[in-house]
Amino acid sequence: MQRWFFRMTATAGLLFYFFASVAQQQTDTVWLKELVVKDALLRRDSLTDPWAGGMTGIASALQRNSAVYIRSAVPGGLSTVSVRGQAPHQVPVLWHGINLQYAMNGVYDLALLPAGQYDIALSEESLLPDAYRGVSLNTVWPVQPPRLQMVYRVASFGDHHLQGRVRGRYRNLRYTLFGNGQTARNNFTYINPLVPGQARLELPNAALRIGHGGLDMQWHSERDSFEMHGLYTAAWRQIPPTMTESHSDAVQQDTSLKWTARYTRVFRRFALTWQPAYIRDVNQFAPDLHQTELLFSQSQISGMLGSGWAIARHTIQQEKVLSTAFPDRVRQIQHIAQLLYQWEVNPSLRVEGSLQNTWHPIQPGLQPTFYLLGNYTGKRFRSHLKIGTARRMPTLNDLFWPGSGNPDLVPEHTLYALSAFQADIVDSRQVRLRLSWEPEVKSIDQYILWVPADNQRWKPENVKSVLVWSQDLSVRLTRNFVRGQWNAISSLHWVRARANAVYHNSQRTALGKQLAYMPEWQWRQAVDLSLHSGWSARLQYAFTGLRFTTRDNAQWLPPVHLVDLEFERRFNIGESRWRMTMAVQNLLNQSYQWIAFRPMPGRSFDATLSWSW
Amino acid sequence: MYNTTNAWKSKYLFLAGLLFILFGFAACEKEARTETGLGKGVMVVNEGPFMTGTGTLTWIGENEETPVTDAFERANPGVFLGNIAQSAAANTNHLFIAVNNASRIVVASRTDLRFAYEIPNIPQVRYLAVAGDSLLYVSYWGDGFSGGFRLMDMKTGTDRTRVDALPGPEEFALHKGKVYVPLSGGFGHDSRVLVLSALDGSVSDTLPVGDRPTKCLSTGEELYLLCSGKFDFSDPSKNTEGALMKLEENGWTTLTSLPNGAKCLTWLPAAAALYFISGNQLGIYQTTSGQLRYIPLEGLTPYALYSAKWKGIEHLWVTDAVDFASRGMIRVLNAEGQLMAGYEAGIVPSYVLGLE
Repeated sequence: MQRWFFRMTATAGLLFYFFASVAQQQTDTVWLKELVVKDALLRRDSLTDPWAGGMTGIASALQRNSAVYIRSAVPGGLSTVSVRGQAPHQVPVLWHGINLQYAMNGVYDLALLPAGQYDIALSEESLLPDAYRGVSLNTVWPVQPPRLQMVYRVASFGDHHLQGRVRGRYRNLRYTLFGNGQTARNNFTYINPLVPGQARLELPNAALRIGHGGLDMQWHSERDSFEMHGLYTAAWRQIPPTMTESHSDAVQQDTSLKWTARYTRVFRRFALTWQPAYIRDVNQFAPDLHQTELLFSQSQISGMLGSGWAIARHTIQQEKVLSTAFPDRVRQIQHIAQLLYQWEVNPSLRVEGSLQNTWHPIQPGLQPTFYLLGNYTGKRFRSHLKIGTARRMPTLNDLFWPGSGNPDLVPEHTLYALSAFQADIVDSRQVRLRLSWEPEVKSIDQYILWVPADNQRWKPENVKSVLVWSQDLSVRLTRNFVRGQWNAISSLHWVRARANAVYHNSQRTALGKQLAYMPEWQWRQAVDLSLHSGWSARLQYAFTGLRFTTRDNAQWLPPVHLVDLEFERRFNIGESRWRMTMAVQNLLNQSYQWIAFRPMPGRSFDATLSWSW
Repeated sequence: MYNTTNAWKSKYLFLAGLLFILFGFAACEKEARTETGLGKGVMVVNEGPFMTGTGTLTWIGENEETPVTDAFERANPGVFLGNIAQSAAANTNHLFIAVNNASRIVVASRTDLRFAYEIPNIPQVRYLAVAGDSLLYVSYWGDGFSGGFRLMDMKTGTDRTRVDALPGPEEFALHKGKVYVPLSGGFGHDSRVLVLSALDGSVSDTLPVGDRPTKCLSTGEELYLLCSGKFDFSDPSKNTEGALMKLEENGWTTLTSLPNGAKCLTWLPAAAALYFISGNQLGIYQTTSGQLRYIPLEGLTPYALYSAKWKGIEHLWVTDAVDFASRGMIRVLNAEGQLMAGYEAGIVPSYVLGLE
């Protein structure tokens, strides 16, 4: 038995160092503490989020995925997500199916979303089919949730975070009321650029106050189901100067109101669904003020058609933008019509096809996109293949920025092929060894890139073609033993995103070069030990390869090696469940930046106390 | 008895270690280049990426074919100039670099570029000039609408003069005992030149000139001024013409009007001509005849123009910012605008300083 175990360990070790990937989508195996991996979902069972490197919110959870690169200028500040060669403005952030990307610049600040509230998935099956992958957030509804939860977290650089949640149930109605508040004064050190020999200098950095309040409700009967979600966020953040400039600290204030509901009525042979939504975001960064309002309505009819399931969906959304950048309020309305067909060939094989068209002010005609998807789920082997096209519209900034907007921009058009293969090499009560491999390729035509134009203004142009290749490999080993369980996961991500054809001379320096802030290599390695007695420990190593900061790839940020260590103790007192964690982030005290000259914290400590009843 | 378990463990550990080394990390660092040594040559100041990077220096020695890029960082590992290096000046012992967005002047050794000290808290510093080893002249934009001008005594570390509330003071000139500071308006608009004493900085006059004066140029005998014209960022129809002006006894006179956006005035004494950039063209004004002509600068994104010695003879040095997001180029032109040499520079090369 021992010999067999060591052989398997040796084999796993070989694979451990060769392969690492995170299988995405239907068979996502990204490892996070306390994760329940279920159908591409990264779900947290508690309110506590293992904030890494001082960042809060969704960004810290996503950062642990090797295919994700978080672009953050400062802990708690603006954080956007880049996935597998997709720049942040190409990654939809979907909150209960609603795309939160700002109409102005096409990104969304993940720091404004509360941690611990949602299932987080790098979802391929976004409800916005014009994108091929997005970050999808949906409310968690545990089977037997605690009625009350409180979490308090304190970090070594002056970060205090308090969360509370009340859950209830009345007949068929479930509800969750939550709120959290955070204050931080991130006084951490970074290298002083002009004092040779002084390795670090402590300077005040980001200060922030963020509060969230929300309500989720779900009701169902035999034929009807209804859910409603509301979230209000207020954030005040002080943005420090970079290491190379001397502007005084600037203050950014954000408020955001999000509301959506979803009603489904099931008939004998079909179902009707309607989802309205309203989102209002206000961003103040003196002297600029931006206000965005989104009105959204989606209607859907679904039912059996032949041996499969057919869905017809129509979405209408209106975006209004009031901004100091634009002289007049901008309003744009778009319609999206989608036909979807899902066919379960057999219990293991599912095929899906979609045809969609978006009527947008700059693309009013018929230019449909499609995808075909095949999913095989076997006992020990799973595979997933998706090919299709997608179209991304230019943002309002791209089109109308004063003096620089380019109203002649055409949408980006992508042809993609995504695949995933996952095999359970060993699957027994004691040991599970899972390998995953996910290659994909995307060809993006008319890629929108800002380039310098006349009189030193910058202007967006369409680059003829950008080609993105990526591979993900992962190995996950789980060993159960009498007293507990240990897990080891290693995931390796590689992406090559390069312009391979350009139209204009001004774009030629990007030809054949990796896009800026797209690390070619990322590696995540984690080992976790959980004992039935309530003790657990986790060690994670995260490697991010060098990132080019210039278009000609002549300058770059060096690779980053981050090690995090966490200890946890769970225990019950009566009906109360307690959980304490102590964590060290950036154990090796590395100096690093995600954005050039925006230093991130060195070694930091935090402690969390969680109570549930 | 041979312990197979230990054998497996040993083999496993060895193989794991080997694979770990082979797997490696994707880190790659460029090899260290040669050290910087300064003699005669040209120092190019590169702004660096706007808002997200640092300025750099490129050194082109008189007899060297290959420029030394990132010269300041090579001489001072781990130290960087700061955001938007704007201009430079040099005296016998030191090189002064104005770093605009970092609002400071970095002072380095003239011989080896080693960092000496900094002069902080000069908001949006723009241009510098030195007189001897003790006087440093500085123009700065402040908040973009209300800047200033300072005359610093380097020996005592104090200001001999400080003039505030100046709208966008630009590239000034020392001429016959006086300092002529063009007031461009900064983010606003102005059309004046401020005159101060070069010795004590006392203000002696303010003279009206054309729209948006950006550069005063002294040839020793004469003083010229280039006005770029008013530029409206959001409504180009409100733009006005620029002008080339000369200081006469009774004030400034207009030699010729120039297209809006003309910039970067310089002078080649051997050709008796003034040069400037207008769009993608090199403008040549013959001071003897008053003739004005243009030569296209094909394949360039001309950003700045200065004169300095190349192979011992004064030439024109045109900076090419390329795409403002990659390394730029420096082109050396003769008096007729013909290309003589080209060198790689840093991102957005914006100033050329000849060092003798």
